[in-house]
Amino acid sequence: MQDTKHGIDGGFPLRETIKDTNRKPRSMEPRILEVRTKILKKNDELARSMRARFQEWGVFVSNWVSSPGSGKTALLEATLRELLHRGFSVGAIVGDLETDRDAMRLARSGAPVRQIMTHGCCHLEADMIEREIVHLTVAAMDFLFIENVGNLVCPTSWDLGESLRIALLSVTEGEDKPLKYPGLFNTSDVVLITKSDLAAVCDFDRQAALKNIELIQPKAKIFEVSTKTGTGLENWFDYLEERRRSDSALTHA
Amino acid sequence: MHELSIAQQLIAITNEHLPNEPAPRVLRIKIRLGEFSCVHQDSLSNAFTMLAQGTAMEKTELVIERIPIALYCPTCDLVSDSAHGVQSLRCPQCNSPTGDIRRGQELDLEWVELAPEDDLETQATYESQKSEFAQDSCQQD
Repeated sequence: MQDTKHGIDGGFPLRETIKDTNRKPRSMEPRILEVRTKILKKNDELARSMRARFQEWGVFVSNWVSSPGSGKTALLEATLRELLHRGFSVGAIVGDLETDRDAMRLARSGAPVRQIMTHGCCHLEADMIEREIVHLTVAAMDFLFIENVGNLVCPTSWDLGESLRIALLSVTEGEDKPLKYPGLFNTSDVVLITKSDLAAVCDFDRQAALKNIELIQPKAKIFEVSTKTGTGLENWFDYLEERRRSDSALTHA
Repeated sequence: MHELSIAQQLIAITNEHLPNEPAPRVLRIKIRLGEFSCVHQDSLSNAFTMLAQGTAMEKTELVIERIPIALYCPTCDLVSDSAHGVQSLRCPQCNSPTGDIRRGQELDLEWVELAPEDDLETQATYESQKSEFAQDSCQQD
């Protein structure tokens, strides 16, 4: 549905464009104001400046996105525990529409946690994160984890200043999720296939899932894990540690 | 319903560009919406209409240009339109998967069209706002 009058390169109507409104004391014609900006510019700019701050502080920030019930909180709690055990300083910010239940669960790991209650908003935005980081000693952290609102659509367009976007796909959801929600999977760097201990019970078609992820984002790094049995977790923790190391080597080279 | 947040931003940016008093009526706003922007066109229009009540954008028409998806294939070193839209991000030449989207994620505000300064409806709104303001001031006194 190409708009031939305007062209896909953002051409403007052929109407005379009046940039200098002082030229005529009173315009008797409709006036076109050229704006040409991204609608989410404010969020993008804030996320960019936060990313620069995080890199300067040497804190590796990841944004966890998935549908509700895919196992984000359980896996994040295990990840916080393990990284603390490995001697890292870690923290988490978690978003939900209501309740601080997830923050309570994550805090059991011993890491500092902040809960954002969005009261109906379906995703986190950069300014919500900025308001929270002042309450955490983020500058002294090695890892900051952001658990987004459980939603496979809305968080896609909001950059939170993260270095790594992690999408979770639980075997109980079915293997076609990447095709149904391509935007979120395309913008993710890592896909974690969770609850792998339930794969057989759910008739999870592993090959189809891997193929569907590849169709939407062939560069995504894929891990298959079970938080319950511990399968695949070591690889996941090692990867996070390695990503942080290579990221800070790049920034502080 | 993240379209609500997007409509809020759209109105905020437009307001930043409007000349000061009298606030002119906005006739049309042109936006570019990529097929891969994860934004539902009707939801965005509805959210915009709802939020624009009582502002200079109350009767504004959203002119939405849809931008099709174009993919970059590193094997062919070529940017081409996606043959299967959003469903399969494969290079139409060599059929290999590529997630490298070069066009189709747009969510851009292009231009804002204002009513002429002698627009009667704008003047009427402005006058009524002024008189309301005067009444409010009187009540406060």
